[in-house]
Amino acid sequence: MRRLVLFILVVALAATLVVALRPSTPARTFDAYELKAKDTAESVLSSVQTARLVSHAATGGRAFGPYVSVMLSESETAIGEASSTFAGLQPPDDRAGGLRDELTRLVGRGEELVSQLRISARRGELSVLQRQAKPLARVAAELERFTEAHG
Amino acid sequence: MKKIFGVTLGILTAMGGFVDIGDIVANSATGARFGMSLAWAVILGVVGIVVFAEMAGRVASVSKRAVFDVVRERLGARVGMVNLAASFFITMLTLIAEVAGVALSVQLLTDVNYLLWIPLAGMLVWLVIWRVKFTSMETVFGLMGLALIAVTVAVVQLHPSWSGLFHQASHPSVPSGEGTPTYFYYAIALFGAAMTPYEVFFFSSGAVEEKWTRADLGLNRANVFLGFPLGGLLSLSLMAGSAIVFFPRSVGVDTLSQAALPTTLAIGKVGLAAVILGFVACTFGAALETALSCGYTLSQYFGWQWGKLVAPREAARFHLTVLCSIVMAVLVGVTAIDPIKVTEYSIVLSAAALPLTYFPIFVVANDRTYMGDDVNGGFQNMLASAFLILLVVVALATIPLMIATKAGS
Repeated sequence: MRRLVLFILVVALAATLVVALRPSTPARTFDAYELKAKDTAESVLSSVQTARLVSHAATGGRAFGPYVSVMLSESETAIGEASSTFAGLQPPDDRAGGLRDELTRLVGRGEELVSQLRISARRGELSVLQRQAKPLARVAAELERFTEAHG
Repeated sequence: MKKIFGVTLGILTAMGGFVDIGDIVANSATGARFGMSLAWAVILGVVGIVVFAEMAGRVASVSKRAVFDVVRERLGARVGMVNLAASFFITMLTLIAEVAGVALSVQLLTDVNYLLWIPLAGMLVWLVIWRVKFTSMETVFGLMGLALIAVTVAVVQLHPSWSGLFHQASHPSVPSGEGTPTYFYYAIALFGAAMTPYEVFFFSSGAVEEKWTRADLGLNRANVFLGFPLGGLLSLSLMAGSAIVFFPRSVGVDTLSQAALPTTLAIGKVGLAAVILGFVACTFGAALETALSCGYTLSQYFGWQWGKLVAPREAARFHLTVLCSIVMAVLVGVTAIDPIKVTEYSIVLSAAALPLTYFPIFVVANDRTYMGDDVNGGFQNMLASAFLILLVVVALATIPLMIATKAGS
């Protein structure tokens, strides 16, 4: 009997952890949706800033090609994952729909630019990365404004 | 020279145990998110591991008994079994993360997907355990891990505001936008990473393998007082590098490659090469430690013949456990499970199991039947008691905080 109780407790704890640690839950109100939009923007901003830093290091001859390529590829993947998770959320109203359009445009632009950087890095064109990364500064600034406006 | 190489067990334990993939990522991530305001958790962890690793090494030297031998005797077969199950599970999780960590480190140099390197990394870990002498293993990987000192040099090269960093560290506070539960969740992660149980399993079993005696108590202290604080310094350097480069730019760290970026920006290719070499050494060292610890814990609990130095024919179950653990780590690793997430969970869950590991060491270190005159002193007992209370609090808080913060997200 004691073993059964222990077994049930362990299973209950494991189930609680699995449910509680789920990374994505639906957003049923505008506030919940706005919070998720802010989190997505923060995550994308982080990847965009990482891409800018590594591009700077690459053009300055401070990093190996494979390392730059791996980092840019990881940044691109991270933006893609954040974007698809956010895209999967149903906006609860029109206001949330507007928010969705604004963020989707920003994230798409960031993903496209980081993708170009990754392609150049894989081709070994490290010297052009810093120049190519310049438009990312604007994307980063807009993402920062977005997170501040919806924080 | 012999004395210098004698401290390599402590350096390997610190490089592979203290600074493993969990520490590299956890310290870089907290530096990026909280600046230096969680430095206290690393310092607390260093003091804690120094206190208990010294005790475990002393118990092993004097009584010739490693940690899990003592755990089984002092906690009894049932509670010992619970501890064994928890410790083995956590050590196994860590082994998965470390083998993947070796592969991720090699990926940074080759741009070949890490999943392809995992089987090779696992095979090399097994080969080293099977063929390389214990002392050579310690010396090579312990000393290679010292390449991570580049991280400390990088912090100096980044010309930070030292007063600003010191102020963040000495006046800990929760940064705006972060919740207090998240702050303490990461504090537990850093503390758990510093005091991971496998460090003492490996350190004490290594002392038995190297046939330490009372005459080696000085060596034990040198290992502990040099190795772990060195590991702590490197952890704080990783945190500081992130606090300087990432914290002001709102960059979150969740990959191993990002942890190398501050050093790359500061020192360039030489620094990057040194950091990657250090990552390989630390993760490989940790993979050796965790694979051996799987064998040590199981064998010591069940009373099997154990030891890397014992011929495989005489310690077949020990060697089989090590081999199966490595194979399991490779099989899980190649499923593309996120190694960083595995590490994060393993260090946080290990915090929940800490009292069960450290309490029996404390009891035996005070037992004159085993220890004779080498029992704990008054100050040591006071410090250890305070830590045991803290370990219980941490163990109780871990799971609720994990749920409340969605694992710090």
